[in-house]
Amino acid sequence: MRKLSINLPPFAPDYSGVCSALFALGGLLVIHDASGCTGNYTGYDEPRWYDSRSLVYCSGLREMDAILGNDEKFIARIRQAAAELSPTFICFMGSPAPMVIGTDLKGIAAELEEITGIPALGFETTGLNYYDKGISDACLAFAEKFFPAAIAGQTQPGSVNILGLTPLDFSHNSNARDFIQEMEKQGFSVIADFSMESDFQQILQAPFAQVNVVAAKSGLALAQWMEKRYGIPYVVGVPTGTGAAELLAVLIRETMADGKSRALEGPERNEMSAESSLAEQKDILLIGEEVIVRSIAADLYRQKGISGIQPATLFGPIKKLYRQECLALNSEQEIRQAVNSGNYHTVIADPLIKQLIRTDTDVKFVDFSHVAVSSKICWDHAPEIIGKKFNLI
Amino acid sequence: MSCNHGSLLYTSPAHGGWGVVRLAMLVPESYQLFVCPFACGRHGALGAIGHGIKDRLSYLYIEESDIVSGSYEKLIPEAVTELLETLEQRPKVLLIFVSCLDDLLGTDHEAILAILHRQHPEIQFTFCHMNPITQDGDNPPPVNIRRKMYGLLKPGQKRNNQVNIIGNPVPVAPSSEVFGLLQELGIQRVNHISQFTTMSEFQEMAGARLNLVLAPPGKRAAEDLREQCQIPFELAFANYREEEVIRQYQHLLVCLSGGRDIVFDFAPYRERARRAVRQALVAAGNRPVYLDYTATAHPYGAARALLEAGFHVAGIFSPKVLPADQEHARWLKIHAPELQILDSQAPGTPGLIGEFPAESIAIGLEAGYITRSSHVVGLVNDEGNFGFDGIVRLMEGITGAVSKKNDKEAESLETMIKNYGLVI
Repeated sequence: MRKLSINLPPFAPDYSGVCSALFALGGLLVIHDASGCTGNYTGYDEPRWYDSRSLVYCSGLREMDAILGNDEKFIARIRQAAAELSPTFICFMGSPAPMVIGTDLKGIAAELEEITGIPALGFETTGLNYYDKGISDACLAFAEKFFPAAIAGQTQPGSVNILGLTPLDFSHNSNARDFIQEMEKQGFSVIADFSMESDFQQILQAPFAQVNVVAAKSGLALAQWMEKRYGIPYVVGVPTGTGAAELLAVLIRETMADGKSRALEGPERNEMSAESSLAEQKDILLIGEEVIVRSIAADLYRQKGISGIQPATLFGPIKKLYRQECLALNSEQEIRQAVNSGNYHTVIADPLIKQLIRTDTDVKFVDFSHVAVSSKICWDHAPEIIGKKFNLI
Repeated sequence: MSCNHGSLLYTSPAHGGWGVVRLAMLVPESYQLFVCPFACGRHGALGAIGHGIKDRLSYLYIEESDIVSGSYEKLIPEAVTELLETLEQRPKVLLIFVSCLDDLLGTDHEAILAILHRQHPEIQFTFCHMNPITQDGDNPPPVNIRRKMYGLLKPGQKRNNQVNIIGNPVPVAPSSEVFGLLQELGIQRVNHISQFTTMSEFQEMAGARLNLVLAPPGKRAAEDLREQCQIPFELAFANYREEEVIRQYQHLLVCLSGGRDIVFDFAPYRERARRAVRQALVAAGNRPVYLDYTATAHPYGAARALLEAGFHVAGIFSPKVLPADQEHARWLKIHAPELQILDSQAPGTPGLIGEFPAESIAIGLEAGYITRSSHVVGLVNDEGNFGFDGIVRLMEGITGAVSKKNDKEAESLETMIKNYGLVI
């Protein structure tokens, strides 16, 4: 049964994605829920929460409020908190209960903006979609709200933004800083990352970059929007290893030269070396965030000649961007079937997926933890994947 | 001295407790199936992995189309059958959890239970709720889950000479004198749900003479058991005042002695507690003490006990005052008007973090997180504490926290929080 998840935990939801994307930007973030949804985010999806002063709150939704539709009560609460805390913006987002009662989250955000004079965003998050959609929607809404209409003639040559950079995909170790440094090492200046290292003001400079680097699927919608609005082309890829870093730098330079968007990916079957061993014909299944796993595939092919890597994602594949198909594993049942299919001699995935591999097989498993899957169970051991620190296999 | 109940709620990293998943796992030979949007299950599942109990917990994810069409009621029997076929060992009890969503949809649980009983007659099914949306009502999740757990006790059990201690997830420490007292009263066994490994053994609790309710959320379950299994109950919440401990024990003597003249010498236990208090006072010196509602269900009573003993109690973190604490809150208002009453869930809390004297003592992880005290007593929910021994354990906690000489010796607060595995 597709909807039955026997062993794995549920993955990070959309409201966690919204909060993660906006966490570092000084906003007042309010999840409209009773407590558990906020607890999901602060307790399990935000490795930066401990020691943080970020303003993330639960609205304190109760049954009678839901039945009676006491929106004014929550508007008053947020207004009161905003007066006390002076945030740069307000963000109000939903959870399963507001979805059922049909709360107008965007309408409430608009009302809050009018009352407080503070810019406000509303998100119809439901807890029925994954985190990547939340990040994507948040980045896009933020840009639509705060970015200028046009930037004619002010583009900074040789500069990039990094889009889709959140701890849910990159963890809270050195990956974000390393990514930025790797870009700088390759000769690019980084205007903003969205959003682990940059603050609100830095992100407002993002439209002046020459190229957007899309670090995860969740950054793609914003990149496409910025391409349409400002004509900024994008390159999809992550410098996972020195090989991928070099390849990505080449793609960025090409894009700076011709203005065409590109994506870094591993080899297609017909590109593989004729000398590939028999073992290599049997693929490696690499499960994770799609942009990251495709970048790793590119790196392993370039650096080690490893081919036959099958990228796979648990969060729905990116459409119409890559040549090689990404395996979409949409349920525990499908993951179980894939890892036990006999098609792979090695599975690289979050450690929690290892339990799905039958014990009577000799499939090799390589830990590749993903915060959006295993959260704090593994985030202290999240791999460093950027540049020469990358050492997965 | 006021708390704000009408504001947004801040959730510190030290917020939480056992959660309904871990609590219900105390039911022997049980398995849990959550039927909810996937997001609702994330914290419970990850908490369960951390506690090593995820092998008794699965999920049936509800999607928007299921909600709109109402088909999710039909999915449950199918999912249960598939789940049971997959499990190596069939459970005796399957707890089907629904979330806040279910309260708003009005699912017909009885109809689903009838189907499940027909399909799997050897298994006991119960619907449970993880619905914090009812938190301000009269049957919030911590209360309801205990009612469901103890509600599995079946009437008709032969009356035995045993006492149940209920409501508290962690049993009272064996060092507590309460066991000696109960033995003196002729009680043959003291039961706690955690000691049973099979459902049939667990049923022995249904024949007990008395339920001692150690934690406030267990009261409704005790009322149910009085109705269902004719077991009377007594409220006996953990507290740290000598006077109240004695009163509690005297009451127990009256309840269980059956008119016999039973004498129990409390003096050695009281003296042990007094010694522990003296040692803790020496260790604490004049350091300000902050305590919170995650450490003890009744922080006002605990603060009063500490103040009466001579400690410099500076603040209480508590969003509300429980009924048994109201008398102490009134006493504190008169006798310690300078005492800070703080709501750790208030929106301004992030701005208060670390704005307290570092050379202070925090009792409770949330007080520790907000004050950043150098000395944190990692007590949660009065765990294991009862009677004079509870006073001793609290005092030893204070002495121990202060005596840690440096950061290397003391477990970091972050590690304490992580190791406890708090779940909302």
